[in-house]
Amino acid sequence: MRTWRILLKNLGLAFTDGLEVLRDISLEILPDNIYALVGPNGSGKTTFMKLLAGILKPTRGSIEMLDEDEIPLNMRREVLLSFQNPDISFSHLTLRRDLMEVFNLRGERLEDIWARLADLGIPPEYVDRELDTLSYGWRKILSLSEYLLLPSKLLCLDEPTANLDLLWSMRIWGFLFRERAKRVFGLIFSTHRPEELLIADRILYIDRGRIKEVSHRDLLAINNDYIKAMLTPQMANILANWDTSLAEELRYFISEATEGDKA
Amino acid sequence: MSTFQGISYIPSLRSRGGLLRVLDPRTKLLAMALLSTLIFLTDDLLKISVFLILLLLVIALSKLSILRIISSLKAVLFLILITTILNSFMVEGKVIWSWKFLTLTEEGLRFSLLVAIRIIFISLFSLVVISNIDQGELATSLRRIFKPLRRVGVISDDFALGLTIAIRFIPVLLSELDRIYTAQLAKGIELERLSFRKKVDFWISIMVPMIKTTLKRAEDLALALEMRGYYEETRGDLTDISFSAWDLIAIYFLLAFTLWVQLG
Ligand SMILES: Nc1ncnc2c1ncn2[C@@H]1O[C@H](COP(=O)(O)OP(=O)(O)OP(=O)(O)O)[C@@H](O)[C@H]1O
Ligand SMILES: [Mg+2]
Repeated sequence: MRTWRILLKNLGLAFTDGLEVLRDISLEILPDNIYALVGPNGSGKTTFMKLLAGILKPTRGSIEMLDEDEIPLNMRREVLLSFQNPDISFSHLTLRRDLMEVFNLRGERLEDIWARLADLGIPPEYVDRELDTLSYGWRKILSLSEYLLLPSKLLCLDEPTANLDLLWSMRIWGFLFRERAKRVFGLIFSTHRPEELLIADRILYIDRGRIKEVSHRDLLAINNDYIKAMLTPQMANILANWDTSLAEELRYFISEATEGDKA
Repeated sequence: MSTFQGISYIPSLRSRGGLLRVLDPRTKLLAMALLSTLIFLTDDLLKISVFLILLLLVIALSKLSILRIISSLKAVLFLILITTILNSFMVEGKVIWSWKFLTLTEEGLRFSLLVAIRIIFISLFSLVVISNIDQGELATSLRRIFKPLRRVGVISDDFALGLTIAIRFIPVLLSELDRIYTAQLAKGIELERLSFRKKVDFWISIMVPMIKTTLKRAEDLALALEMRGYYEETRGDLTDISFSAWDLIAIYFLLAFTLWVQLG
């Protein structure tokens, strides 16, 4: 089922200093796939996601999101982007107030939000905890939860699990996979964790602003130290025998394992 | 998207040397303070035009790009417009034009022109001066300038450091504002389509994290200073500054200019 697609054509992006941070990008992004965006520090992952969310505009080429009738959609509204740093995303002292504000500004109803928060594994008392008194990891969890609860066509997560412990990383992924079973939405996440490549269907490999869509097996052939550092013998072995059903199995396992799991 | 970079005329402005480099930063700061005050003490159009010539000379000597200078004027354009319009209609005198309660007077026009020129002079002159002083020089200059205050019990170094940090923080805060603004937009909020009331809510929702992160930064900075062993008694200066013959010439010139403006 294909409800939209994003088309990038010969896209380039330069900041005011004139250097192209993204270049020659031609891609098609579909809701059916989960994409992992990987590449070295400073290669352009965050910039690319800002572009998808309509926050940055390309300086060359084009990017558009088309619905099934080829009618352009407003990417600012349809694509959400959660930032690496949780502290810039809260405008209120508590998660409850913050969520109410965001829904108010988006002109949407909250409805079953609190129940879904519980499904994510967030204890009810955290909804009213003062954010400043929480640890960095918890602030990140709560800021992520906002994006997971907001309706969108495409969700971009910039290093969602950096700073989270392994259990919380699993809970976040589990929740996302369960949500995706209920409704279709695209998912792109950036990561520096090799094991997270295994839950993606496709890999977007970015190096110095150039992005290539590759399969898991293709990674083995990439001659780049950043990728090589990710490929432990075990990883290399898994990728060599990669089959798309592996990602599906792993996602199923994670969503089952974290369902009804309370912090 | 650098929505707020336009406001920031202090960052990314580094003059490429130029003749102004030979002057001690303290001389430049003195000139800035003195001339900015003096221009308010005269109404004489001839003298004002000498100020403008001086400004052009300084701009030429500073090697700043004209484009940057013009774009930095955008920041004060609003201020100039408001004061000019208000002044033109509020000063009493010989009426040139009137409509209902609005009356435009000759004196009003003259006065608002003067005010506009003064604002432009002050903002451009300080822009040139500040972009010609680098961070280290500024810190050292402020420290030396405030040193005499020690005799009356003021902790001059802390004061100077505070001022230096405040100036240093302006671009940091602007980029922070930019980041928070985009983070809010990334939640799928369409600013253009919000009603006026919701727009107000939106801006408030930006100011809260802004204030919070600013306080956080201030705290981190204090901690970082302490961790690096910043003590008033023992610290030295990274950048040394000293007066030269050029400074003497400049100061004589400033003195003569002041006398001429005030007595001439
Ligand atoms: N506002 C800006 N002005 C100029 N250059 C910028 C700006 N923002 C980012 N860059 C540059 O763009 C490049 C890509 O940055 P980006 O933040 O997208 O990297 P990243 O892949 O997300 O890195 P990381 O893994 O460290 O998060 C970097 O070289 C960075 O210096
Ligand atoms: Mg990044």
